[in-house]
Amino acid sequence: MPYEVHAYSIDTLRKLLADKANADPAVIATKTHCFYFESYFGKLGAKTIVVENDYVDRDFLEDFAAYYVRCHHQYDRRCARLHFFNQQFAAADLENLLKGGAGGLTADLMKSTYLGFVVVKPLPETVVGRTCLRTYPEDHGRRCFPITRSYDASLFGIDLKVESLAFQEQDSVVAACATSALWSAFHGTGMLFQHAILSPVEITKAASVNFAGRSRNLPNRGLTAEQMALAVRSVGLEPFVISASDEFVLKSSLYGYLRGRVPTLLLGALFDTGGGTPAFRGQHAVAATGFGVGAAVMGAGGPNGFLSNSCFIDRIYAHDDQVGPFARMVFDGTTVTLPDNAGNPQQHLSLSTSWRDSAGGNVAVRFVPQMLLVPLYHKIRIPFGLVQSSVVNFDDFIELLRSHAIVPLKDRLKWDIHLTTVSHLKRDIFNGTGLPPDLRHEVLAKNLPRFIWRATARCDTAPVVDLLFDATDIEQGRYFVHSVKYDAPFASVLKAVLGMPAAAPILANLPPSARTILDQFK
Amino acid sequence: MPKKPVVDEQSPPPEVAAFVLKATQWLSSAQGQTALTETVRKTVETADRLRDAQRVDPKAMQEPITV
Repeated sequence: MPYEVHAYSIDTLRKLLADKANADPAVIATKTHCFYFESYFGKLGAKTIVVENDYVDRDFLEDFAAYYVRCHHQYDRRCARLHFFNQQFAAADLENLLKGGAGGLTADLMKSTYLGFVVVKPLPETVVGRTCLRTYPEDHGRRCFPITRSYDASLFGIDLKVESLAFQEQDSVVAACATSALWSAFHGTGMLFQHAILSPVEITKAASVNFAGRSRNLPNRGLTAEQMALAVRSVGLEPFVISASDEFVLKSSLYGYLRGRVPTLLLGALFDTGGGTPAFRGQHAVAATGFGVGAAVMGAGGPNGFLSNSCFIDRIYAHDDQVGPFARMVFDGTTVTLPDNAGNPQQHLSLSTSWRDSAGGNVAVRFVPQMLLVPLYHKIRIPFGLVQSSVVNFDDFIELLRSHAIVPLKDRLKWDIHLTTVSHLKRDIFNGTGLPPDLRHEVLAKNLPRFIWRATARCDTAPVVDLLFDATDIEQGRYFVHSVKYDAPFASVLKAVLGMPAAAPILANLPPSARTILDQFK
Repeated sequence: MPKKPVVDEQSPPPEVAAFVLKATQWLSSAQGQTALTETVRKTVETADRLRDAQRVDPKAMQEPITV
């Protein structure tokens, strides 16, 4: 039978994963992914699973051709694909639809209730192949998944679509966690920057070029950050690495790049803290795919009280190949105490994970973030940190004036700093309101670079100013290109202040990037 | 085209005049000068601190990621 239809339950899903992979049900039952799917599909309201029994998955086929085909054991090269719907229907309904019968189940109903798919790989344990599932609802901005894209799934002539970012677990043969994280990230950057999307085995091979001195590449036991950077270069992108041990730097950098729709890789160390002293479990990599924001500033805010949207991030959503897609990693304020080089205890920022034990119980595995690896198009040269530093400096000055009631601002400015493109920026301005006609025309008609860092300051919810930075420039250049002044009284007061002889000699000591911004207000 | 009215660009609009007056007085005072100097000093420190916080330990680039 080319397809089967089942009512959704987690037990049915476990059974299908085991049956279609020809795997041991006892092994599948204890996989963290199954516990994760139970919760995830429960929240999405899954009602029906349609099994596409004979499915050729391009990624698995590449892995099969590179490795599994030469095993003595005959692994199957075909996969199965499970499609999920939040509408109840039976096999007879689907059969009737495929026969062209009227009434009951319709293609439109299937499209509107589609939750996505999971490819089942015919392997003994690591069965979760390419998985594209609908995200949780955004909940009025509480959750943000800026890097999803549309995936098509043709099911017997019915064109299904799901907004997602592909996930798969490592097979521990041609791919380890770093490979899986890169693979997910490339699914985002491939569409954004137009490059080939490599299969897991192609990523592992690309990462292993020039690393001949290391242990064997296949079976693969893991990559280093250096090797991940090499894999990024192999698709024509530039790997940009940022330390992630500082909470403000981590959150703000993640926000800046993710809002620019660039998937970002988060690397760190896992510690089991269940037994008192943290036990090192190994280095781990995940693909950050979104974030959640709370009502208040979480943890350490910005320097000198700097306030930005990223300060409100209370969780990251990540494709963690050991857990599942869009897995929660929460900034819950818990630190992990580790000895430094001299043996002195040091508190380290850590995030909760969704790791489980084999019985599905929560385990106290903490993720200590160490670095972000951002795969960037080569023309995005000005790093986020440099732009944020300029904005922080500008904000320091504005806040000094505001705190002495010299500028007409009721509250402290709240910043939103992220990467964008000229077309997105202009579309936003074109569709927006609040800019005087002449100013609106000036921005829309202005010649601007393709990639732009946009820093929008708001007072309460009203926009005050947009600072635009040329992301394609050089660091010692004048990469601040334009300001959009929404708040005319604010801009007038600032202009007057900057023209005062008493201020000029002191402001001359500001870092050049901050001075350049102020110069635009003169 | 009709001539545009001549506007004295040196005189601020009325809604900002009070703020400008206050700014002039404050920036000319010793207290204002000290506060501005201190803010500029802190700003330079902050820029350095943020730059340092983004630096990656080169050794970390070579650790195998195996979990």
